[in-house]
Amino acid sequence: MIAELTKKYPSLRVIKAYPESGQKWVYLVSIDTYGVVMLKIIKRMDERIRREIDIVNQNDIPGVPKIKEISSFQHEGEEHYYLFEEYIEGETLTDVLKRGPLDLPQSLKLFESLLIVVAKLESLGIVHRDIKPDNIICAKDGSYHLIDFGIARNLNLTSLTLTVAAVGPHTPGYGAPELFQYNKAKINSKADLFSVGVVVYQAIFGRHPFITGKEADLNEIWYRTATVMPKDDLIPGDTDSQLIGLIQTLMQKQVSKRPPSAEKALEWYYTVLGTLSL
Amino acid sequence: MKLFLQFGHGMKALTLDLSKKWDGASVILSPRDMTPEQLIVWSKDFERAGVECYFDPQCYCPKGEQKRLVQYTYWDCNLNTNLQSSETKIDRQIKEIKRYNDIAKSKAYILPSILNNYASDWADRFIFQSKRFIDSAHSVMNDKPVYATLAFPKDFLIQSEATLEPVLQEILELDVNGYYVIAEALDRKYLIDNPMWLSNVLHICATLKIAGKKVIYGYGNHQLLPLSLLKADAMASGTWLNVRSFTNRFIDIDEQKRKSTWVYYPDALSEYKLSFLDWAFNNGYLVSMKSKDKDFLDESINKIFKSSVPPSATGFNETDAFKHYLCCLKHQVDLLDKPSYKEALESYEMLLTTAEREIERLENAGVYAQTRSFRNFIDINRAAITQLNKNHGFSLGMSWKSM
Repeated sequence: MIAELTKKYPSLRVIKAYPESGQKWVYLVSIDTYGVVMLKIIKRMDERIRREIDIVNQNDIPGVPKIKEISSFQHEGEEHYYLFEEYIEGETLTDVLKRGPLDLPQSLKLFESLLIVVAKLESLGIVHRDIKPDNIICAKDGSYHLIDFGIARNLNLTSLTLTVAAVGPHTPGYGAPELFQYNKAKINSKADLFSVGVVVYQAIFGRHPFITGKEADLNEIWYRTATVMPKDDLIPGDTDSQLIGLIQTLMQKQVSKRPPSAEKALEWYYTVLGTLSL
Repeated sequence: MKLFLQFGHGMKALTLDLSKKWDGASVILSPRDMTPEQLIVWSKDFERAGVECYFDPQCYCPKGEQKRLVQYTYWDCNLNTNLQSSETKIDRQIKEIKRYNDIAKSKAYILPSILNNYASDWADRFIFQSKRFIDSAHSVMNDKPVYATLAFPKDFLIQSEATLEPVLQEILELDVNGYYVIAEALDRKYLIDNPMWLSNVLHICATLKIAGKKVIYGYGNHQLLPLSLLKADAMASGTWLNVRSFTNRFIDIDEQKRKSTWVYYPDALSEYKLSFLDWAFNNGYLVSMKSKDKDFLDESINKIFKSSVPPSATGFNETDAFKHYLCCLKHQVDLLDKPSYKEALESYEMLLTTAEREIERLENAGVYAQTRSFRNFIDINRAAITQLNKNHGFSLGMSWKSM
């Protein structure tokens, strides 16, 4: 497969091959035209992947790696799509958190970055639905990047999830209750705000707000996600409890109790920032 | 939050009087308490007096008492309002309601709503009906804001917040400028002794306000003062109990008239019968019921406090009691208008603490407010505002200045 592409791009060199995923082969490559970039070869193009690519390719979303080129080639009589995507040098937030929680300035940077992305997605009518530490790259320059729009939902397009499906796509423990409860069909950016709250809480305290890791099964994770509110933990410098207040508000179980929009949440974030003693 | 007048039986003179005293007033007109002919004449009087009008078509109970309502052209002669019939009829009704709004020169349109009993299909019916009215309104009501009426049956208001949630999400998507919230009272009670009811009312209104919608709460009373904590745009209240709380039964005015005159003591959030004030007068306690805040001492109540005879001998009557209640309520609403959510919350908590202390002090002196004592409702309201703070405190604090 790579050999076919090397014919097309003679300067292409594979630096690293990532473990094979269900839908793509992913490589870190160098190529004269773009330098070091990610190469993703789509095993079989379908509507969900097409939408994932469109979301990133058609919109300038801050903090999201840019697609530099999309094309296709023939291999054994089949057409395979591939794309070159901006490479963010760094590691996932999951790996970073294995070494301990982020300090407050880093946590705030993460918080702001995620809110900016979600506000932008909101303005485009897109819900990411899978914001979690695995999908956040902490770049070497200290910036944070959201990746993997594989289950993102464009609210302007028909849902690709079966209407009869009881549960919408999400990652248990990070997906908002409405994604697996009553109104998965009516989701909006507030579902992403919930996940942002969970991720930021985890980044600050070094532990998940309501999952202990001892849950017996998926149902228990869902149950805890829908019912357990973390304590009002103290954050050093958050003397007026405004930062924890905002995080708790994002993590409210019911949509009506979260901020009315991601744009508003970002506005509130900047207000909260002014109350902190850093 | 502003105090609107919820028009009721015999309120025309009082409305004009209060508008003069307050330098303007807003009233939600009640077709069940005025004929279409009176609406034409009184609307002009109100306009001249600077009273801003709203027109509530009062289609809540199609099978209820509608002695006056049947005289309005939007009401069907076959003892129903046609609200569940074909689109054409709804369009016609909306046009007729608009005509009455034009007569009243209303500030905004209040759309009709039926108070359906709570059942498993209630939410679907409620949203379906609301959307039909709104769709129809959009074709003719384009010159001023449109408010959807949200008539919540009592049994819905004691459900869990999780049950309310999908309904709230649907309501937020309704294409209107604001909401006229009607909450059916539990057991037809004036004051509600179930914290779930009050907490849910506050939760619904707070959600709507934080989402940037206008909210007018209809048929309110002093128990609903915490609506100030979420900056509801207005609460409407009136004279008789049937305009201070909403039930699916229109209380007969003659039945009410046989009842006693109750005098509101704002510091205790309670009303006392004239006979008990006589008792307080005779035992030297009446003077201690004179509020230290002179803005609570309107000319009506001063008949009692500036007299050397027992209250019942001062000529203080029902009209005075109504006027005093509404003046006090307006002042209490004004007192809760604070520069921050935190200050508003603290003020309201102080109001409850003061009321608790005053009720106890007076009871120790043998002065009882009996069935209109707020004693048993202080904890209800405390519980409800605790939950409001937990649910929306942060968002209200952040949104306060822009609400």
